[in-house]
Amino acid sequence: MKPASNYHPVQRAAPYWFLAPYLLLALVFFIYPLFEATRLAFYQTHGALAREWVGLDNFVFLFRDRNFIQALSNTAIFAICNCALMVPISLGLALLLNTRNNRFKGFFRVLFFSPNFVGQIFVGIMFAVIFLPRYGLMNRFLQTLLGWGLETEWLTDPAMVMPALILTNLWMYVGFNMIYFLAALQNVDDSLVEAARIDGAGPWAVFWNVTLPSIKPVAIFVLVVCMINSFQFFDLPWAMFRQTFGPGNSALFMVSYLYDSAFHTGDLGLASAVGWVLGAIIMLVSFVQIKVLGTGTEDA
Amino acid sequence: MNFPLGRAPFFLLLLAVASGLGVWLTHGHYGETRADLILATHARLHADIYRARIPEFEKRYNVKVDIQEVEINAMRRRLQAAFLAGTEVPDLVEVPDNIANYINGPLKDIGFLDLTDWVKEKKLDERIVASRFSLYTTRGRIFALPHDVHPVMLAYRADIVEDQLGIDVSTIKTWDDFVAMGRKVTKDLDGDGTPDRYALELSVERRSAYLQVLMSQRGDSLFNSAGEVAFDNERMAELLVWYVSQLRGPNRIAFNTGEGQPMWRAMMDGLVLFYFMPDWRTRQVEQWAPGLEGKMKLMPLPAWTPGGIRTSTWGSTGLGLPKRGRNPELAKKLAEFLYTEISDGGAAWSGLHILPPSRDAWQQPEFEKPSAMFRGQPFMKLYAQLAPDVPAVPVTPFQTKAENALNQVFQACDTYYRANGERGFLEYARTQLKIRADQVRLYMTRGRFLKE
Amino acid sequence: MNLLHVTLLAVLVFGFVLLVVDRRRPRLAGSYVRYVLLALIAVATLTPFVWLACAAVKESNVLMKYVLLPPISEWGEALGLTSYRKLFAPRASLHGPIQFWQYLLNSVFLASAATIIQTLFCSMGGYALSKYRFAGQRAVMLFMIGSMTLPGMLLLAPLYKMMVGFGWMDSYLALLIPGAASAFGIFLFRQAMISVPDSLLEAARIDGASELFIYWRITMPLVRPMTAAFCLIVFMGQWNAFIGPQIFLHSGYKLTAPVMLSQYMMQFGEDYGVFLSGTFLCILPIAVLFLALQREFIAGLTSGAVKG
Repeated sequence: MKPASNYHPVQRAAPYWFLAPYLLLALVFFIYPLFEATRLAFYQTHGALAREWVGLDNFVFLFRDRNFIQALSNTAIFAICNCALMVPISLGLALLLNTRNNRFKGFFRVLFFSPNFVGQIFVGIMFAVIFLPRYGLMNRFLQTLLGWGLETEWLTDPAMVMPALILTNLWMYVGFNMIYFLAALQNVDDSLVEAARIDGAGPWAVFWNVTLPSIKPVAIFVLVVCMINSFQFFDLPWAMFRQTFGPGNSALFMVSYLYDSAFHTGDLGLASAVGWVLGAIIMLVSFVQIKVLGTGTEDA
Repeated sequence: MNFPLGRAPFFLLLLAVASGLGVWLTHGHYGETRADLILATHARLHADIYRARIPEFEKRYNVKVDIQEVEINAMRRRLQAAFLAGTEVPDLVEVPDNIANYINGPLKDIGFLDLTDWVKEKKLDERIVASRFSLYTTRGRIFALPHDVHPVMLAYRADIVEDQLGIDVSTIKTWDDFVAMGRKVTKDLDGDGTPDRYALELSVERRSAYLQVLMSQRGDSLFNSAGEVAFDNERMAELLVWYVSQLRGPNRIAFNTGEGQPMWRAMMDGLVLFYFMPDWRTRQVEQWAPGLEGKMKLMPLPAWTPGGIRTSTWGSTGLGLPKRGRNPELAKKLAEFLYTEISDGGAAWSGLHILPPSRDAWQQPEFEKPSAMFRGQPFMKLYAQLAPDVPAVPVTPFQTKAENALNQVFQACDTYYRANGERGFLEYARTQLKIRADQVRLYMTRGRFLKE
Repeated sequence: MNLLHVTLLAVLVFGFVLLVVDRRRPRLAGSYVRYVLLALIAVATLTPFVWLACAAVKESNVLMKYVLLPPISEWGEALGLTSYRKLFAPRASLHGPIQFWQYLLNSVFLASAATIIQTLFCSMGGYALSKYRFAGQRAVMLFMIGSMTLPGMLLLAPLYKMMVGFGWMDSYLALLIPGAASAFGIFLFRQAMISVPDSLLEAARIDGASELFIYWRITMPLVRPMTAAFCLIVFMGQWNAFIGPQIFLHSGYKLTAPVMLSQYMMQFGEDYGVFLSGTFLCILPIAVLFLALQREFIAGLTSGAVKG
């Protein structure tokens, strides 16, 4: 490395100049808003115009409001179901695709990844029509394959909303997460696998004892990121249900609640309180996952 | 390629410059207006009428006025966002529904101009049906001028009800009379086990609108005039029982047609005989069911008690003057001109099928004209006769929350009734009303800016 | 029993036959199952796109009649561009009539301008962190990692309040400036630039090259694949962005395509053709860009997570 003492003054100042735009922007648009969010959480506001100190009332109110509790439980159910399906399915897909034929692999990799370049808004619009009863693609497919399901009300029956959203979300992101697993699988040491095979281990034992431990860090990364994104789920249900909370508030998520509080009711204080609850949950969940599962590096 | 970042960024840089130039050029020609006033409305028909009348106003004051149409959802979003952030708005705005979504701040921060003193000075509160101001009033101050009265009647298939079944609707004075009649006419005509003729149209999807029509007629509303939640009472529980059992019960007389096309289909097929008909809906009948000309007639709503009110109200539009408008005095003149002056014998309002709110305007020759759709009944006059009885609908910033709560109550009751029938239903309705009303009360603890 | 059932059954039976007949080479049956599964998932992935492409050229009266395309004999009347004509028809707003291409233009500008700005600032930051050692470096890195763990939604309300205060409401500045340099982007560039040999930079310094020259003329050309990937990531993110434009833009003519399409969905209600053809139109350019740059894109996405 370069000894700092040899540096010309210009050079010594250079890194700070290169970092200046980021540092300045972070100061104004990250650190300040962060303080502001903390302060606002103790106020009730009317847009940017009026505000009044309310102490902890925002938080007390949130946990007394049935709608917030519903938003919280909808979000938690979505996050758990979504990630519980997302991680194994994308890992499974990566295992299926992990062959030595590189051209073949490259083709399917792009194909499975492709839904990810479409924004959630566009996907929401598409799937709102795909899930229509009688005329929608989904129900026609069910009818042809199974002989029933033509009238399944994915979007108007509160019980069917969550499955519809999870299905759509899986369609969008399984390929994306598969990319990470695929890259990790390529780094698995072939000699370890060979050694296990020679010792007489079956494919299942090889996977469980050799492959899985060595991709554990990536699996945890995918799980944590999946959780973080699931808790911030918003665009897709918002578009799919035409900017509403869905039947019986079944598509009401924490960010929808935040958005509604801030920009329909005009209460930036309550929205900041929701933001902090959301932030606390995300940090807690990520922390627990990393603590419980370990970062995975110690046994690699 | 010499660009240090490579081909893709170079292409994007070109794109950014080109599109930036395009944006700069195209945005320039929006928004430059020569007009002294801009009026925005969500209703194309209103815009057409105003455009026709504007030249007279322009000549009188030697000014230029622009009428703009904005899609209804864009209008709601734009108004709310602009009032919360203090960005640009037009000089006059026709507000869809009521002002519930714009009044949850302190009085001084409400985006609309306080019109109370002007209304009093011009005696508009005497000339206009007073109950209509409640939709645009908060904390005793008026923030918009009502555009309409929207009385509700029942429209029915006269060819079936009168000619075929020989029913004299003038004998139907109360809802009890109506239900008795309804049970007779609701019939399974082809013998397949389900009725294929129903007496009344009720809605499941738009329950909160229908329930509010019936509530208003009974003298109830979501909020009382003091602004307190007022829907968790015995009368409301009874109404819910009535509504759900007419729709789902063993002696049902009502059918949920669904919105739009399916409803007109049901009307044309004679599947349902009586329909709730505010004045604005008569225009849709002409538009969507032209084949029924001469087969329909109108009657006042049956009363809930003998001698009770025979109408209700459904829907509304008001004219607000945003505070940031450029010329409030001129805007007030325009508002008065458009809403209270009638120079065409009522042809424009009659063409809209909307009764103007100003009482002196009801005596127009156009309003006496017989309607071909309704068997020669002078429909505008019928609505005008009911207009003085139209009940007031008090509005608070928690209107949307309360409507949402009412929807949740209905959904729960509907599910309960279908599973358990009458047994314990009234008690269940009471509990649900209480739970949801308490939720609205919880929201109202956040009315800190309303204490003035 | 229909065509779908027959096909699935045939596939199953063939696999079974392979398994029974070819007992000595079980790998063949194994790869048969693998390919069948991959093919099925590929079909499931692509079908919504194919369906959308078909929906975008059908007339609205047959949109729901045929799942994909109508039989060729009916193409004359069943296919057409009516929904595009409706989509591009001028629509009333407070500032006079607006046509759909205006939203597309706005979206293109916002996405490409944001890409250029972010690429510049993030590569500068990445360069500083990878090619210099300076006091406070560790603190900056820790701060950046910390900032990435907080949900962005938390800052939405205070940012809105700030934008109102700055008078940036209804201005593109509110969308371009606050996110002009991201910790994520700086990390990506740092990762790529670490592998640029220091000796190259030293040699340039001895020749008297300025620090700016070394960054722009020597380092940046060596990380071009990373730059391309980053451009695509930012461009897609901005092109698909919804909540920011929805909140910060008010004037009709400044809105972006996703915001407008989401509004059309409420406005056109049952006329699915209009917003489906609009959606198709919005996906198309990004699909072209993605296919052109997919190799760099995927490499860029994974470099941070797997190697770092």
